[in-house]
Amino acid sequence: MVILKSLKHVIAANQRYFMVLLLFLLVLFYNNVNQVVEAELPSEKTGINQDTNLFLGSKDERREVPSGGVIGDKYRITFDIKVRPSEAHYPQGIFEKLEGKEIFALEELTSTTLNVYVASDFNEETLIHSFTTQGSNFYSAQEISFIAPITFSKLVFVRSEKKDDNQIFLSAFRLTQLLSGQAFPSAPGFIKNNNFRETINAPVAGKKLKVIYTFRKNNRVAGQVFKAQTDYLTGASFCLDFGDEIKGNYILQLNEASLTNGRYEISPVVLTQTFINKENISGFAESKENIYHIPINHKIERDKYYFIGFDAIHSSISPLTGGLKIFGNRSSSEYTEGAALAVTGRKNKEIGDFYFKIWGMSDSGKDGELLPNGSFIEKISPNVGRYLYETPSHVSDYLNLEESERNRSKAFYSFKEGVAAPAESGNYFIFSIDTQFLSTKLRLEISTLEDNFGTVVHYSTDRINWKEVERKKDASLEESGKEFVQVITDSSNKYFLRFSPNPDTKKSKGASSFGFKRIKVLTELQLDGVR
Amino acid sequence: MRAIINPIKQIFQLLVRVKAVDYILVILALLLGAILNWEMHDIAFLMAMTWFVMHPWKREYYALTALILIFLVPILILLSRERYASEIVIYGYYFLVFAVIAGVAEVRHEQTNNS
Repeated sequence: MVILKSLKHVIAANQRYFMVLLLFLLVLFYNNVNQVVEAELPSEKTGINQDTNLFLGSKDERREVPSGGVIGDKYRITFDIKVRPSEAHYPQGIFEKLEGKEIFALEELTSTTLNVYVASDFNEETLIHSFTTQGSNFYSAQEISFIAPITFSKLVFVRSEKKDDNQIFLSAFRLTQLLSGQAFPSAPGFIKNNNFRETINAPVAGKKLKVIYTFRKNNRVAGQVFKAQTDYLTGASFCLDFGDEIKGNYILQLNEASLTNGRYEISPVVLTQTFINKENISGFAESKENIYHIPINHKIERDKYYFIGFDAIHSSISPLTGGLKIFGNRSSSEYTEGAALAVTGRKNKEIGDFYFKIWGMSDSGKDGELLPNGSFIEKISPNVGRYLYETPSHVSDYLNLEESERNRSKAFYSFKEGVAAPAESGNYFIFSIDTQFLSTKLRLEISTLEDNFGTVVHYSTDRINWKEVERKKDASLEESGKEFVQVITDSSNKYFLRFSPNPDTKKSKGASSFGFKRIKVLTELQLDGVR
Repeated sequence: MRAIINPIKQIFQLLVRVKAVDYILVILALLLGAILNWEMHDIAFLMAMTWFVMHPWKREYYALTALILIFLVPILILLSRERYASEIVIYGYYFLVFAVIAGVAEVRHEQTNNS
């Protein structure tokens, strides 16, 4: 009782100090509540579906895919491989560094080796393929053809590199049995699987990056000269500070460039362009290090110089804070095939090297023809083939899209979830499907963006006569994400899908965008005379 | 027992007289913010709050600070500093809450004095 009384007295005499202690306790409680939320976020963001994707995190790690085959038969496996640096690789407190205008380029030129085995239920295991990936930011579509050395029940993937801590993700597995007598894929016209996602690695990898260019006026262009190493350009990654103060559109453009007397000259003709702004930039974010992978596509010639840069003409730049800031290295010695240029009118000045990565695609298959990413042509009987295309919701989907004149100034956006454009009257875009061989039947499955019933889809084989693809009313189909399902019996080797906003929906529901989330195309091909 | 408590009590009273405890608590607020990895401006605000708990202002001063902070918001927006504006407005509202709390405390204090 006495203690309680004296305690009460002490509290009454020092009330304000106890209030401060209470404040500190509240702060601790508040901080703990917030931390729980933060800790839960990463698993939601990664969203890896274990059923269809494999993850190989460390050395000698093994993953199995159930499958089956008989000794002596021919098979083909295809899958996608993606390599990312491990989380432990990211320097801590990268955002604080960014505030101080310093950032690290994370890619290091490490290599990762992956072995593929076929294995039986009786502990027999035979190596069928081994390959090495370069760099810690790598994507590739892999294809392995083999004659089964044993009767197998599973495929086994094993990492076997000496030292690196990259993470390997494998997905989109397909195992096809090849008919006896068929040649392997090297034979022309037999199978095609595209080889997109080639990259020129960041020339300033592993170096400390700084802001080396800030837009101060909007009649400026800043970009990087590079030497083409692929047949198509599909995208470019830059490290950008896209702060709150940025207003309007910046244009990422491609020009031809040349090297004369040790100086780079840029052609005034813009070959292609992509608009970026505050609304769409987050859709291009590669990771938390302010690196953006911006889709831009055009045919390019190997070993020729090109300039890829940002034009600020449609932006509004505050004189106090400046506009877009681009990270790089002031020394131009890292990348010898080009340099970062600050362009004013017809004059340009070398300013070092930007952090950049060029994403490309190379001609492959018969006569250098290209297939969209995620497409497949295979022979299923002596005269019949199959073309399968499924959008993987990846940046290279952009390669199959054509813009109309009308929406030239409107960028596509949100390519992670699908492809969309602003729902303005007269706006449309076209997705082309090239099956390369005559197709007699085509099954089409399309789902549009979530909660968005403002899209109308038409198809055509000649781009002149368009027929509407009807939306399915069937609830079960809608649930499975196929809002449009149609079998088309018009024979052709080229099909076009036109997406446009539904004018009625726009008025009543106020849809602000239109586009597709997924497309699946399956066709039957006539392969008469194709070996 | 008293021989131990008395010197401690005297030291504490001395520390209180020279406001040393107050300063120590403000430094503790700084350390707490640093341990919790807070941003510098948040730590500064916690330190200020700690001080205000021990040495409250009159409600008018809180209200005036809130008004000044809220008045700064459109200026910052005009200068394209939206990020700072959104943070400043939050602090403005905090000061409004302080003004209300100080007002209630003052009224209660007056009532107890009158009775």
